Amino acid sequence: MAAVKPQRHGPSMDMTAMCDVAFLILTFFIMTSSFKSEESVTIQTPSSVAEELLPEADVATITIDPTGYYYFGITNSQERAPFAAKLSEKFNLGLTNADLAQFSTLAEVGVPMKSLKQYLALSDGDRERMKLTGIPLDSTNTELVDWIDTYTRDVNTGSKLAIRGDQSTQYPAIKTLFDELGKADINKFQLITSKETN
Amino acid sequence: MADIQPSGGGGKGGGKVRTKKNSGKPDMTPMVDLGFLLITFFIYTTTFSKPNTMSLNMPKKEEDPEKTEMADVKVSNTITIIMGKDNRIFWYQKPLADVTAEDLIEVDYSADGIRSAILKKRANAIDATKFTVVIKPTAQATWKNTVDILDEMDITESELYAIVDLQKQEQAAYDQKIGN
Repeated sequence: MAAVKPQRHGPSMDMTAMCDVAFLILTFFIMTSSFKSEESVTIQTPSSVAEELLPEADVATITIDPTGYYYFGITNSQERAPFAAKLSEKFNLGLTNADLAQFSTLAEVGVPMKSLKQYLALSDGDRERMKLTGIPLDSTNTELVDWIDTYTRDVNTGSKLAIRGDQSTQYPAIKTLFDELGKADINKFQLITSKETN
Repeated sequence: MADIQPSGGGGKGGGKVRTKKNSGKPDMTPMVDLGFLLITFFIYTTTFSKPNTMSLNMPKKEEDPEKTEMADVKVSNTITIIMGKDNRIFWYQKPLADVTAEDLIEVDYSADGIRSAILKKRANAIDATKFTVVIKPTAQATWKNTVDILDEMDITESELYAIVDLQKQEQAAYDQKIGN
């Protein structure tokens, strides 16, 4: 007689619910994370025991590279276009809407104000290849202070100023920055460091 | 479905290869795998990209810094740290006017170096609550040195500290010290 064989099953699990949860969380992370915008210089920050994290919004970053050039960047990409508009208006740079849109994709800018329009008009590849000279800051030309002033006083009054220096940046470049900002009555800074690894 | 197929126990059916019947439900396992892989990626990239910061408040600019500097601080209540080139570091505890190269004591950035010097000097201070660390980076010091020293301030819980420039006397002493 042909006995009816019960079909054998391994331990099975319905994956549908798990899949739902996984993609729900994934969607959440995609929506909340903000991608890093294009950075023009590579900086190796010194390590410290500080445990405070850099806030995501309301921060302007001044980057000082090993050669002592200054770069200015705004963390919140939403604030970049209003900032550029204000800067253009204040110093007659004549930036168009397309320039403003281009500006808001850049994490950092390292060109003097007068060549900003020209810099923004470049294609992405050309911009990457261009040799940056930084935003001028010395005792005769304190342009960087104007940039910072425009951001902290006109665009976002509750903002903080973060300083990101390379490990090998020489002290005089930092001293000039502190001195000139001190003259403009900006005395509070956040120093960006990486976590101590030992 | 995500089930484990029991191994048949050695080819009972002989040559016949039966096509498996599709139950109509798609296998979700690879999709879940992919989902969690992406989640892991996003979690890592969002939390690890956040750098740490330390706050630094510089004093307001004075009209005449030479005049106000260290006006009411006793020498024995201070330690002055000079950061030199090639990660060298010196400290001294002397009135500013009579600093010579012999007074500069070279240490390093390690825990037994500058940290123990600060702690020792603070323990011997007349009034430990007013113990002040004066940080003087030379032109050859780097940003890393500056952050390291500020870190030491945090570690040794020195709340009173100031970053100031080298005076002529100290610069001369420093030049002489690294010259030999």
